[in-house]
Amino acid sequence: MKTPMRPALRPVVSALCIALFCGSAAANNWAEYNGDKAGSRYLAGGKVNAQSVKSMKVAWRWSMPDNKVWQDNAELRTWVNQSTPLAIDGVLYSSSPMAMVSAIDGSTGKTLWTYDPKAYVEGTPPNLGFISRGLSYWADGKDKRILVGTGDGYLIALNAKTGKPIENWGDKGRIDLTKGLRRFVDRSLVSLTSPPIVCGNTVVPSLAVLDSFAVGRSPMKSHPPGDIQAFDIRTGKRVWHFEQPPQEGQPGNETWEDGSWKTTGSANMWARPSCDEELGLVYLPFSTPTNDFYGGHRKGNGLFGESVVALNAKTGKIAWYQQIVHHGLWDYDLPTAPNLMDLTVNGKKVKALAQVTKQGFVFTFDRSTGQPVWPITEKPVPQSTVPGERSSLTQPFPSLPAPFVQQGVTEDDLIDLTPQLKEEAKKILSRYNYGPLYYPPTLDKAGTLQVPGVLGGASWAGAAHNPKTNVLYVPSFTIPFGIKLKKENEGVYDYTGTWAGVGGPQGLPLFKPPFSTVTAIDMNTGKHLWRIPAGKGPVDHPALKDLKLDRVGVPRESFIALTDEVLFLAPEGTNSVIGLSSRGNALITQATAEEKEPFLYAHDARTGNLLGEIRLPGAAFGALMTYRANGRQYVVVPIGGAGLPAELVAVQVD
Amino acid sequence: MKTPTFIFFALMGCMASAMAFNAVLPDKAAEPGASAGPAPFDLRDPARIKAGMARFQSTCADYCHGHKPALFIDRDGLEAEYVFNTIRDGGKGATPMPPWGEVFSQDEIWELVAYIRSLGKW
Repeated sequence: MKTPMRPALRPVVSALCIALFCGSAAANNWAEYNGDKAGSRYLAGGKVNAQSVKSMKVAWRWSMPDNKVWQDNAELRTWVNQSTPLAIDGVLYSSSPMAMVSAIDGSTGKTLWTYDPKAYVEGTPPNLGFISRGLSYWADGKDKRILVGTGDGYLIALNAKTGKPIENWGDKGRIDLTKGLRRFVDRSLVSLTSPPIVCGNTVVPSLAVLDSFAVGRSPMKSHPPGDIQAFDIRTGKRVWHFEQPPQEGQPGNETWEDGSWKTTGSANMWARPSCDEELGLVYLPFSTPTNDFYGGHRKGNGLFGESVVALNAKTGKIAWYQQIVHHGLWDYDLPTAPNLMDLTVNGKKVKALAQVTKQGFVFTFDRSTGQPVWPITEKPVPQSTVPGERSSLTQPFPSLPAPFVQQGVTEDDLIDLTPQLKEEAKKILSRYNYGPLYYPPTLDKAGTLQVPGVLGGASWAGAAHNPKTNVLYVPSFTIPFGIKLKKENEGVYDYTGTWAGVGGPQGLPLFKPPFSTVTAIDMNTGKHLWRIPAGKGPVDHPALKDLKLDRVGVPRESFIALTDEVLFLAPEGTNSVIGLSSRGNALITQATAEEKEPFLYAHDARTGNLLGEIRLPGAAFGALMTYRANGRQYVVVPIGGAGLPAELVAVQVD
Repeated sequence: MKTPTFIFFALMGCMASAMAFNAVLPDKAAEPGASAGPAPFDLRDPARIKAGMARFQSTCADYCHGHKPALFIDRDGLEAEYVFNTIRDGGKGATPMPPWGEVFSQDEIWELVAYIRSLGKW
């Protein structure tokens, strides 16, 4: 006979169950794109351990429904597959590069339903083309919904059970995000690549905007703005509108000189925000204003470009903000959702927010007030010599944690594994202007050697956090970019940027290994715990093989997912540019079919030691996720796209 | 004229780090828009192709054309002068490709052309 629980104990046990998800279905779910609304990329519990990951195996593969579309129409080739599913009570919900949404049996990989928003009808979305990084899930009792953003600018709400649009939501189940802004927005210039976040009863979508310096289209002065629109999750009605740049009379407007707030575009939020439902705040990571590398037409610090902004999720009112880069000239967009965490710093409890950045910093704030957890100092930085430009005299440097990646360039940083490699690297370096972090873009030579480059540092792959240990795991890489400004004789800007990734000698990277890393940081102290190479990397290269190096890191970004004992890591695959979209708004690429290191690695979350590995049928191109179904735990890896079949690969890890 | 290698390394060895910002570069290729003229050497020369490949890997491959550049492998229909001009002057329109005419000599750009040609069918 069961012993009835004493009433007095019930609340205690219930609270513990909420904290530890006591065997409930929710404990097995990956219900948010980043694992949770705090951006943790972490799933508690389960049986995944050092032993279980020694025998990982592919459980199932799932082919995405849009493969047929681009195979039938070469004009519609997608970007690499960055679509990461959600897992809700044994069912996976996945988007695809073209934002088709499918429900999949989490044990077998069998498709349950598919919804096609036909987001490809008008052609390729901007920047990198067809990308849909994931979905959002919302439930209230039996009302369960899936939210997807599309490449043609719509936010759509679906019935999670049937895959049909919610007819009484927005305009028959969708909202047109090109409407309701302060100016006409050309649909081919915007795309919803990151899934929205639902914070309380408010859904806050992200919106990617064409980086007009970069691809095809001539830059426009009146570019789509970085405004945020928020909607009621139940009705789809707009509940607030945050104007970016701030308009006349609004805080921050004074940081835009000569009326540049009227026309400057971008400074948008393409990454996903985070949300603290208890505080009722949504945390928005914003990007660089137009154009990314020249700001002579937008003098001033330019709030809220490259800022973390905390808004009241109900009203859209600013609770606090912190600008991470003043007057951005480096495309150092805030690339990922801030990690929310409850720290104990010097004995004091702090509800904190940690923003990892492309330039290699972790900025840590009290997420209630915006006050820095550790001092942040404004330091002088090199100044631009480009006519008309007025770079910021200082930039903010956090005192803790220490940077997690090389910042800036000196000759001592060059690859020196052999004397010949060092000499060849010096010759490559001589083509560029270079200096410390925030060395501004230049006009002469091959431009400025920017380190970290425009892709990071940390990147859209984000960072993982274990709320029990308060260890933050930050993947990063060191790929320099050459940024060379060119004078424009036509169009609206005096200068625009050209760019190119910069390699080193003999096909190796330019700088010393590790070429990519994961850094574990104790966020209670701000101190680094360990740093490991992310993947094996080119140790078998002819110039290196006699050195018998162990692991130097794959010179790409890496995707991670975290359990209590194991950190899963998959280095990104490669792809090469083959042209521009027929709309002239996006780069088109071919993914590498025979990838050198298409692996999923399992590392000890405590020490970083490698515990296990499995060769995948293709290299990872999207964020990892993990879930449990029918008593087994899986890690799912998005592979393919960009000319290869887009798939999900589920790896059984226990 | 291309700077002799030994002078280049001798200069690099003597320079303080601040001076490295102005490290010696080869003579500039012709000004943008100027005629490329004929290639000054046989584009099938293996040594030139090898030199072009090394230069391609450090300037064109990472995050753009790739170390196995699908844009050029088995490509036909390209013309040598067009490729030379594109490398020298950068991408036309608003593409992000930078111009290399200020950085590389004529011969160095032609070596890039030789490498790209070796991948294709033109």
